[in-house]
Amino acid sequence: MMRRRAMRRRGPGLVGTMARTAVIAGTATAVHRGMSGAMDSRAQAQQQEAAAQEAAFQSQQDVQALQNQMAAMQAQQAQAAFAAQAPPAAPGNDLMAQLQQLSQLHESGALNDDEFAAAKAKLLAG
Amino acid sequence: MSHGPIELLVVKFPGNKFTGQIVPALTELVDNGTVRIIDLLFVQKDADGDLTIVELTELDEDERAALDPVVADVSGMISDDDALLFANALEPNSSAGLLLFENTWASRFVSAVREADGEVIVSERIPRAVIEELAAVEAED
Repeated sequence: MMRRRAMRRRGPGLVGTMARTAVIAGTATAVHRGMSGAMDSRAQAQQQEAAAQEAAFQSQQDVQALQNQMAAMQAQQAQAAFAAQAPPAAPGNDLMAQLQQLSQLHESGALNDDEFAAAKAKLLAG
Repeated sequence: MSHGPIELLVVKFPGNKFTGQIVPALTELVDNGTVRIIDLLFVQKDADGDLTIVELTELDEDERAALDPVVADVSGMISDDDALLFANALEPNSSAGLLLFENTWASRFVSAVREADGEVIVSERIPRAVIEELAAVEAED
């Protein structure tokens, strides 16, 4: 039972709106895009720096260190791309994530109202 | 309207007392421009598990008087459904404050970054568990 009070709080709500607008998926994409952009320009800067250093007859060791750095950055970039492709809200212990996923299933029609309500109740009780 | 990151905080208290001691700390954060509160409500769960949603205006006079100047807006963005969703996790005889706030400090920093032709490309909150894991790995080395 819930007692009513004066103020209206009948809006779509934070949790529902987050699920609907897939904030999490959007964030993952934005992060990925931001990261690649930054990596690209940084990698370019590194390349230019490496070229400049080679031209200046820096020691072979310095060049090697830069190449290692670039390889590491490329690996990071690949990882970021992979992370962005992964499902945005994998099932986990996080109640919010699970609720959001449930809500998405409901919205997509995979769960009908009754199934959604039952699953939500189960999740919250657990 | 400024554009700092918005955060929702749910704080659980035993019994039916909400605020008392946290108000001075919150007041300090608001007064020095760290955060701006844009919605606030409280939920009580009694011994039988019944829920009551309590608005700022329904608090005891003392609590209301202390909190009122701190709260910039009671926007109602936190819906009944939100409140009930989080309140479900409460045990009987406890209460929770739901606080929606803007990190105004970050908004000022972002303005400074823009003026310096910088661009924020990633802003992520890292779970505490991740940091603890990394700290443990470093401690091993």
